[in-house]
Amino acid sequence: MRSYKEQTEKILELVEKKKKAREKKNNILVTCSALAACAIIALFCTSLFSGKNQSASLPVDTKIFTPKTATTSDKSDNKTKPTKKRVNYEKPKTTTIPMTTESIKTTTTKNTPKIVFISTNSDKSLPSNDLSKTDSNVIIYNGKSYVNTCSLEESETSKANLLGEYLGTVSEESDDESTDDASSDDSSSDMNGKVYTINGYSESFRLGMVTRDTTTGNDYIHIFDDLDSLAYSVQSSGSELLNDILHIDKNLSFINYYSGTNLSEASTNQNDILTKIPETTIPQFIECLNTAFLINDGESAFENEDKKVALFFNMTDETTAQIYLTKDGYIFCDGLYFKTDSDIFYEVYNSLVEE
Amino acid sequence: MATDAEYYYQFLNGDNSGLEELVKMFNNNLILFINRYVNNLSTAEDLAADTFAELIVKKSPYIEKYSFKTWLFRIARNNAIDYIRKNRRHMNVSLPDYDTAEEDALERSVVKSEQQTELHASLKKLKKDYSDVLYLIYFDQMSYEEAGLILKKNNKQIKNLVFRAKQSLKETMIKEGFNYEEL
Repeated sequence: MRSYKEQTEKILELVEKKKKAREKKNNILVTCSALAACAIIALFCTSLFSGKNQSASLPVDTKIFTPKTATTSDKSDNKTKPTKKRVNYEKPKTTTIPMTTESIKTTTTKNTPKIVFISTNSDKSLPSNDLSKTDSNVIIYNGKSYVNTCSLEESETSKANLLGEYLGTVSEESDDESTDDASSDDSSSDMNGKVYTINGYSESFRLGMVTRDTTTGNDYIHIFDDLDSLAYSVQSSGSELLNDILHIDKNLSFINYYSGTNLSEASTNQNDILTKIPETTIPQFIECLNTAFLINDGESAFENEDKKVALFFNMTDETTAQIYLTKDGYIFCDGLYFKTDSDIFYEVYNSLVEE
Repeated sequence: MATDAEYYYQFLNGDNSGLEELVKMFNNNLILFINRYVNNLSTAEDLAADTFAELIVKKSPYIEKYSFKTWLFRIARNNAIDYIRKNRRHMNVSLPDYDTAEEDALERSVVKSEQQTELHASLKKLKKDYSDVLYLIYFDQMSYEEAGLILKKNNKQIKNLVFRAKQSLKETMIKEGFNYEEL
């Protein structure tokens, strides 16, 4: 063991090393940025003199460059990359289309994939007979629709852990027409924000939108999943969804449950599953969910059964996966139905279901 | 007496004694905390030094909002997990290569009373998640919020974890004839 003085000296030595390493890294970055800026300017000039459209002549991956120029509200990016101003990309154009049952906000630019935000009164993340009871929000990105499956208050931790690449912004509409229809009272009118990929999850399955509650000033991260893509990704068993896509095997922190007939109460009326189930049973139960097989005709089983059990799998990355159980071994998760005949399922279901 | 943040800024302003004070304040607790992940005192000591260095170089802007200690432990946890990831194969076959008397001495510097000794012994028998959170709360005197920040859990998650950890601790202590209620 080193004495305090020796440990302090060791730290100082490490500080010097780290500072040098950072300087070296910064120098490399500056050089690369300068070279890239020169290359872009040169190409821009070439395209001007040749009379061609500049965007067509840029031999760069537009997916990498366009998100940061897609939105003028992303001030930090504009500050750090002044050369992009010369490129003169088209500013984002925000439009709102008022509809009777849903409102759509879009952010489009010439160079970015289109992001569309829709507020609707259906929700595929809940079992079918509860669809009419909840409102849901949808993001359409790259032609795929992502439904809002969970939301969490943003902290420095969640921000650092969850948010990946910035994809674009769904901007707040500035028109004053949306005053008379019912949708103006909809909570979705507050859903304006930046859209990101979510670390640890495939972009084709999960996106996140950061919004700010204007009354409290708190930021929220809303998780959006493309549930339709699961029909192609999940072919036979529960583990393809729970482990391969939702990463429950790696990220599970704790499980809460709700038991009752009204799933709209589930989010506010949860209990720790360990109050009903011994901790040693949990791994066996998760294994039973993993081995459950995919079925196509599970919808009627949920429609015909009033008593349901909702499980909330709280992950270490602060996201939540919801799984619904009903009698006879039926399992519903993210628009897919599974069936199991495992005894452990009945043991858990019978312990949780409200009499 | 100056606070940890004051010592931190004292060091940033060029006074090395600020760093020495911070090392005196947190080094032992930090080594024990990291050792819970890496199970090697010498590695834990190196990672602790690296953690101090990282916080100094990065100059975290959160020191005033939370505390120096919280961010120190948070970075330490990240470093320990990174180390485990990089050395997973090697760690699976290695055994602790240090004298346990050193670890005992280090623990004695943190564990002051007999009651804490009992608690410390019981914590070692709990699941890692449980002992981690209770260790931070009982021995490092952290709030739930600070513990949550270090263990990357939100308020709800940390409350649930502490609740279950305390239940598990109570069972363990009662089984061993210790008095849980006095805690």
